[in-house]
Amino acid sequence: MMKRYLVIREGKESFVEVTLLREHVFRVVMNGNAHEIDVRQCTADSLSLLMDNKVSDFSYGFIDDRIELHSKNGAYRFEVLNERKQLARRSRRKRDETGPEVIKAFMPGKIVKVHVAPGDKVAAGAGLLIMEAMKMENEIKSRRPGTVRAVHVAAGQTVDNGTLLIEID
Amino acid sequence: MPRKKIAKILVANRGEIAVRVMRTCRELGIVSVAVYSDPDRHALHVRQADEAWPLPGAAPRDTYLDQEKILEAARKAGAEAIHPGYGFLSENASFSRACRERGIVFIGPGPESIEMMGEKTRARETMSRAGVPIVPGTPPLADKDEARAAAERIGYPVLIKAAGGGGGKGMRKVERPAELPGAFEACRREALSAFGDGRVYIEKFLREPHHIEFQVLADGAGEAVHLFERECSVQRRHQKIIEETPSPLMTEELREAMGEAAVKAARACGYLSAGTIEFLVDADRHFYFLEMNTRLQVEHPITEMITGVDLVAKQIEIAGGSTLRGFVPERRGHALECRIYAEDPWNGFMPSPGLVRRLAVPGGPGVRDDSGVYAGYTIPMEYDPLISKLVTWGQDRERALARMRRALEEYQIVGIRTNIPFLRRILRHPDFEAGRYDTQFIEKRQEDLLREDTDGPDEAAYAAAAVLAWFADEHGPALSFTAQAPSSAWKLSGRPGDRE
Repeated sequence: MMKRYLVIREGKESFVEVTLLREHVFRVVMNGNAHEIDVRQCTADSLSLLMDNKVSDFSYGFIDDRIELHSKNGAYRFEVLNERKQLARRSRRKRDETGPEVIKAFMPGKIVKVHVAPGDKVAAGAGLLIMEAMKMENEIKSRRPGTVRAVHVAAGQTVDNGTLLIEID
Repeated sequence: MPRKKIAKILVANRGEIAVRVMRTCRELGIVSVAVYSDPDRHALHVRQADEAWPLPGAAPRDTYLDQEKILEAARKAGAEAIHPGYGFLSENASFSRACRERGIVFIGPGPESIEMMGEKTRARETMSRAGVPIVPGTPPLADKDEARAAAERIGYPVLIKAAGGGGGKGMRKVERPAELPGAFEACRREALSAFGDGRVYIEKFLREPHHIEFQVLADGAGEAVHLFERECSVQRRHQKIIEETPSPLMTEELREAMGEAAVKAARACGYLSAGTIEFLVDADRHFYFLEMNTRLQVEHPITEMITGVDLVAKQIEIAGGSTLRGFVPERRGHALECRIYAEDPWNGFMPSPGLVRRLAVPGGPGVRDDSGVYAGYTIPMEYDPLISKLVTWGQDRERALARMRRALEEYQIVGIRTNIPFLRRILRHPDFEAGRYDTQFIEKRQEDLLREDTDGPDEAAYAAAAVLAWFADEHGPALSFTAQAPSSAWKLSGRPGDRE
């Protein structure tokens, strides 16, 4: 049975159709072209793929809802949605058009300094706080102009990956 | 100096450099002793050592910077010597002195040389007196006002630098007076946390210079030699990324002049062990002493590749009282090093600690990987993001470069973000390929180098991603084929209508 996946990389969307033909062998259709591919899992996290007899060797991992693949050509991070998820995404998108900007820590670290307080007006690109991680200080900036609605951290505080830092309206 | 048999060495460091030092210990039949912080019990350097002693705590100052804890571990372990690696206590004069006082051999220079050279402002004076040219600059500065006055006098742009340590830690380039106070404070904070010494000074910023350094060895008995240069101009925010030797800029006359100055510098501070003299070289091939690193350098392997000399073994021999008499370094071919960092080039080069799920390391002719991680290891957030150094050797630059490109294609790390894709792009850049680059190389081209999708679309990757999603759909969450033994799950699921 054919399944249709939406594959998203760096914001670019492509559809890929997958049909199992026989053990290890799939028919894959993308960009209007059909390919026969032979896929073998080699270790728990690597696979060998022959696409029209061209060899690709991938390391892969499932990380935060994404599929990450590494080959000699580069590193690829894909969001892959099956048909059910494609539907859910369409309805979620409608709701998300408006709403505040939420800034989270994208790695564990320590807050060195907070530049803003609730009520402050900030420009796009304005520095919000300085975070130290792995011996480096990094400035976290606002992606868009707005007003600071809430500041959830203070200087000296250690934060985990994903900790809510600042909200901007 | 009396010869002393060293049978057991404590390595007061972590990560790839600790592993690298232990490898030489094993080759020499020396027992290696690791020390480790709480988060590092699982670290590779502990697994590779013969013995390991805990340093309770996590922060560097409570562990790898805690002299008492390390000396106590050395005493308990019965180690005759301590190798400090680079960073941490490697350029700490009081630690070198404390070792000496307790009868432990510090594998590195004595406290006098470290004080003279480790303090950047004193080093500049010493060099100036020895007749080595230096870059215009200041002694350590008391406060922001003094810094502002000094910067006005020298003329913008200037560099604010840590007086008490190297490696570019804390260093900031300041273009305009308005940026000075912020940069001054940031530099002071980073210097304090990295070296326990918040003193900073200002140096004239030379536009588009090359950063070229010379490896030296000195035996403390009057013999000092250089082991040629390393070109370290590929830097991002003053952190080296790629090094090579010989330097594409080098000429025989320049090498002779700089090598002579380097040996003079080592002699001027009564140096012992391995050290590095860093120079800035302008486009007209004028060179200026920048600083001396009184330790083994991160990028030392490229020198080892072209000379065939094991610098750690040399350090150990010298520490045991051997002389360098009759030692004449020779070089052959070309070597390159790429530093692999756990960081995300597409997210402002933010560090990316976390679980290394899979690691495929390159091998084959002329390839060396000095790594501190393994698959299944979680890179902690407490320490430096350097995870490995990939080094290649070739008969000439072209072949060393082709080999590095090939090796980087083989290098696959899943789970954390690394700068490997960024390195691949640098190596493909026509200016790098032609050897036409200076310290502004990255800054000027960063945007180009980071442009999305220059890797080109890989249709096979799209196909693989869709097929992996297909498996996840057929057999529930990803673990149905990540957690099982190779092939079984695939066999199971790849056979329609027949589930064994």
